[in-house]
Amino acid sequence: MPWSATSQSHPMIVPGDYGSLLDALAGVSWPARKPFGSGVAGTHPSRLRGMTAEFTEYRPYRQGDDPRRLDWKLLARTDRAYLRITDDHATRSTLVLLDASASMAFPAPSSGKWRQACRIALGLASVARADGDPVGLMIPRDNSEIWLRPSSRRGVLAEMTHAIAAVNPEGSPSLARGIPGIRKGWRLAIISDFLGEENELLRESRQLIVNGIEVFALHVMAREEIEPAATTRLATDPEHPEIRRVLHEGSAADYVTAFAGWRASLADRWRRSGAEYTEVIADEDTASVIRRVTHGISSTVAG
Amino acid sequence: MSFLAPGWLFAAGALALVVVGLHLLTRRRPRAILFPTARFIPDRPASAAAPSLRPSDLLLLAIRVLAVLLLGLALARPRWSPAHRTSRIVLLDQSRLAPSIVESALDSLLRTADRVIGFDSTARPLTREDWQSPGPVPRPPGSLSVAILSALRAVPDLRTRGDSVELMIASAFAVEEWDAASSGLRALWPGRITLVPMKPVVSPPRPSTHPALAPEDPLSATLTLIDSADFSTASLVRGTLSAADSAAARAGATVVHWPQDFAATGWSAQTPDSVYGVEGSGAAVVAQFHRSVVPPSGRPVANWVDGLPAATEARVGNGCIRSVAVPITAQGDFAIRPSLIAFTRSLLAPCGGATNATRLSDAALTRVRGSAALAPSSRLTGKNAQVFPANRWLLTAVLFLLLLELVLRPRTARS
Repeated sequence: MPWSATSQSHPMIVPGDYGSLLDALAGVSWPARKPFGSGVAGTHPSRLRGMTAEFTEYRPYRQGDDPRRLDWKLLARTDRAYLRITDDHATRSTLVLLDASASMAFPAPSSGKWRQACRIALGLASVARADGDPVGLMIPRDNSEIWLRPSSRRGVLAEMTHAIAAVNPEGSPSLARGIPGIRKGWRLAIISDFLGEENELLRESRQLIVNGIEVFALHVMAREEIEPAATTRLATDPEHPEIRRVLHEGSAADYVTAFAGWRASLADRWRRSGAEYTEVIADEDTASVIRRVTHGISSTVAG
Repeated sequence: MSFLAPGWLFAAGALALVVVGLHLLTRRRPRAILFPTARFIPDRPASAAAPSLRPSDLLLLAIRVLAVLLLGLALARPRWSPAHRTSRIVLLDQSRLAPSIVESALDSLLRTADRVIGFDSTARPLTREDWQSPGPVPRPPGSLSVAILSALRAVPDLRTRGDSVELMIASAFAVEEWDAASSGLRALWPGRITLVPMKPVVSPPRPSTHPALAPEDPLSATLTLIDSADFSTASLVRGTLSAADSAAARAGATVVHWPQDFAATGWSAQTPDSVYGVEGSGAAVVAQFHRSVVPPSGRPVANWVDGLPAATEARVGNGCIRSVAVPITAQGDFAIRPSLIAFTRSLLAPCGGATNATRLSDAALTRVRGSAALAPSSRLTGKNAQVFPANRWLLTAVLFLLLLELVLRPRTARS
């Protein structure tokens, strides 16, 4: 992967095709959907009421409250003890869970789904990093995994780029395997085509959601999967070679219906679980996708 | 062009239609691709029939059809057949036909016939350039065996002109012209023969020349018992031959030189011996003969019982000189025995032997004519019509097309 000059928004050296993406995402913020408790100061609203200068309200003093939070001036004026309540902000570690299974290497030879997934992963990491949040990466493999613990150091994006560049999508690794390691207070972005163990992944994700972790499910698809060509072909599942079906003009309509139905069901289940589900097409503009995700615009592709 | 096995053409045509039908159905395995969402495709058979006529398939189709058709053409063994034309051979009996008739018909025959052959005891092609009148009758007796044999020999040169041969014989069809070999030779001609019976030219009668012999000559008694009509063309010389005798022979007479004294003839002497029989033209004489000379060389007309020639005939001009080395004794009734009378009569026959100008019977002529179709040239030559020499090239072309199909087939499958 060629390396370009320093990106305008990022002082580190990033690959050329990612550099333009990161430049396009300059100024994009990825706020947390809900306040959460965190001891590290950040940009996201915290559930905790702290002692920052951002005043929000007064609350009568109760026994046990920290007397340092008393508004002494108000006490002097009114002879009544009130606590000064302010909004706090915290950081939210963002982990990108990237699917590198064989199904992501479609269509051949461009591997458009994998390229889009990689761009989304780096784009989201870049946005989170710009918000001051630690970012990390997990790429499960069949016999191992690539694990970059969330970090806010300067070279984390370059490390992620290096890690992604060393991966070729192959095999059928389990994405759900890495989920139990996610800590409370993190934010999880799952970038996958969900053609593997999607039920297990959803089950594990539900547990995270219950524990207050924001889960973003980004369903990456190729346009050829949504709108297959009408030519007769013998289609073989790259992860399950025993699945061989003839795709032709007669069966294309049934395929489109079945695939759309599955996608609709998948979207419904993820959303019902509390996750944000977004469908992404491989040839879609990555910056637009990231803006949709960060702004909370869930979308599904027609068809 | 014709075919030795035309059934293969029909088989090749049917197979070509089948190939075209199979090609249009395009029952071949679809191109295999990796498709992650294959599980959503309805589970149906792995091959589907779909009509298709892509350009690459058209080339493959054309190659396959051409290979099948060429193979059928090669197996059908095409041959170049001669043009449907009938060659004609005309045989003219010059021994019995008037030369003027032959000459007048020659031009028209040469225009319509591929070969005109004149025959008597021999056969020769007749052309306008080397036409020669055969001379007045009597001439050597004709032989239908010679005529048919000459026609059989002439066919190979005619084969290239037509696929069948018509044989026409213009003759008097005298009985004497049909010999023991004639039936066998007729059987060799595998078709009908057109017969043109013609009136024979009769030899002009000569005044009777009953030879005057000395009374003591034993043959004088024999001759008195022979009809003078038998002397129509013959003259008997008991002494030495004279120039007049030779002239008479050249003029067409039959000069029978039957010396009384063989020592004066100058004939070749032989060891004197005795033999007890002589035969000539079916007439046999059983008696003791003392041989001392051998007759001059010539065609034997009488033989001793031991096979040696007793009398020979030599052609001289239009006639012949018949030399007889049979001694006649005056003892007893030998000279008037019926066997000697018949033997002598046979020696007095015209040159070439006694003739029987009686025409063959109708049944015999029917057998000669035959009822089959015209004789095919191929049967007469014993060779098949020329086999199409390009058969090997057809098979080579088929092999090349099959190799080309093997090369193109994977490319078409990949496309």
